[in-house]
Amino acid sequence: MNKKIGMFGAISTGVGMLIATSCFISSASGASAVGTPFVIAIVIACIANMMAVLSIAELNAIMPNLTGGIAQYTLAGLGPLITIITMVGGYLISNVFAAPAEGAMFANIMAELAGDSIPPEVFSVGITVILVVVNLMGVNMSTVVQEVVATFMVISLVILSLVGAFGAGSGETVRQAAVISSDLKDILPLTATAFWFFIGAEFIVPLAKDMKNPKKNVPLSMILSLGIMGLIQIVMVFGFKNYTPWAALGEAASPHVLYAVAMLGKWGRYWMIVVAIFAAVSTQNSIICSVSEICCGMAKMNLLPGFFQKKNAHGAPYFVILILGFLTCVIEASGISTGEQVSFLTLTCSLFWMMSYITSHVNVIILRKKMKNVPRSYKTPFYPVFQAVGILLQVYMMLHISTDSIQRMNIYKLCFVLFAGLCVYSFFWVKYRLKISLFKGVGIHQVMTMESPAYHSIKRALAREGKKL
Amino acid sequence: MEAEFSRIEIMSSMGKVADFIHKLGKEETVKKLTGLGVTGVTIFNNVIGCGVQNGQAEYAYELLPNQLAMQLLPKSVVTIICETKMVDELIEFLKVELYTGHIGDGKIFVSDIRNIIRVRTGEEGVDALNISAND
Repeated sequence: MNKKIGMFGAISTGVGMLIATSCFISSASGASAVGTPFVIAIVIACIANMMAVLSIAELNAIMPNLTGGIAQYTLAGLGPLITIITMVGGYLISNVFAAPAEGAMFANIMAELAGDSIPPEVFSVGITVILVVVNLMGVNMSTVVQEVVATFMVISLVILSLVGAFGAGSGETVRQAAVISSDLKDILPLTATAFWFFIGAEFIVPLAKDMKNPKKNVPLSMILSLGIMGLIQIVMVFGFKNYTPWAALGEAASPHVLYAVAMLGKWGRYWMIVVAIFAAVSTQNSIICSVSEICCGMAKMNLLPGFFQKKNAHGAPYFVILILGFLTCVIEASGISTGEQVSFLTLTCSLFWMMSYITSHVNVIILRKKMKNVPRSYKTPFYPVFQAVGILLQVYMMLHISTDSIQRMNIYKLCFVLFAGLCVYSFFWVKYRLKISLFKGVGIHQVMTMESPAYHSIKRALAREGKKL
Repeated sequence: MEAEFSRIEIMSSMGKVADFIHKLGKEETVKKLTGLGVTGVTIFNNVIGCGVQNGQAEYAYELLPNQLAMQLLPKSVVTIICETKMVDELIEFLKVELYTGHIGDGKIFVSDIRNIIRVRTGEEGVDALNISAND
């Protein structure tokens, strides 16, 4: 019998999902804009995402052990049209932006090591190609490897941030004002920047069926993962204040290396390089694994074309992996490397992710009304306060997705084009392929039935025979 | 007038009841049930039956409701006798424990019990339900 995943395993998976090297760009960007008051934005973003994961935990209690996760919750709550838009947008498209952001961070680190002889794109495209091949061969990093990598990264970041915050590094501390701006008008819009630290904790949910006491441990491990990440980032801001001039921090393409070198010299650089390589590989690998799983789940429910779930001889869903790999390589090959370019990718990804969190809150509200008597092993406390406040916070962050008005408009334009394309695809797919109501929630038992491959094959056979369903 | 005691019967698939029995081996479940006034459980195994889905697979019933023949499946019945005042809280606990969201989670039936008599001591009512005062 397989050993059940305990609280430590769940938290390390959660934190492992949250930690990404591109987080350093966000923390450097936020901290260099207002100084240490950036911690206020971190706390607000952390609370907003805690509210979102509590809603997701409640949805998981209503429909436990499903492969598609939020796709199925949304199908039951808001119907197929919104499901396809939020899922393809929130997880597939957003990760198409997240993966190259990680690749670019990896390339920056490697370029610093290799010098100018090799263009950075070679490293980012190279690592993506390697991970695509590894995933096509059906080799997944085991939970144990993920746990070891995540634990190493967390311990390293805790030590690096604490040493910096207490000024205990071997490098010279910087004398600078802790506060650049204490005006809430400057601080609050940075919650959207801090949002990037806290996405992905919901990937703990699929582990529920292998967890000890999942009813209690799923919501608790998601909250603790977010809390740990929030604390690390807060302490890191104080470390930045002690060792890196605010202006240099905002301009750096690899702010984490700048910080580590200023604090611990060349050993800091090597240590941070190892952390960054682990984080980039682990995050890109997680993205490829999780997105292919989600797409498979959606194709199984007939929300995406059937070829999304086609698997090769190694059991890997090759179509999704190749598409994701190709799009990631295209963006990476375009030569993104500066902090601003990475920030554009992460903020665009965040915008789609915020939409999916809003959808989760709305799903809880709808299902509390529609299925109020369904037993829930977990209910969000103080209903509907967390849902209402959560939606407001996510909307606020969407409206202030970037403090730079030009970048903000570019993000909106890109999202609008992608969103419009998704709407058209979803409309035709639901109306002419699924032939079901666009906005009517599908019954929970039907959503669960749709998990079975036999359901779709029998449905198609009956349709061919012209039998009315 | 409401009876002082109630019978709670859970009819569900053998698999789900087996999970429930597995949970009864855990200290926290026993503590919770004891706290809810449960002093005993009787389980009838290897009975057969079906519900409104005629015993069909979830996907078959969804696509062809009432068009398939009745299939009798292995089921179990769990019987719990408790004080009526504890029934609501106990049912809430059982609902959460048994819930998976899938067709076949089972049904809970509640009925009145007029009296309880412990044969060994002749005690009746609440005395017969709890540990005997004569022991």
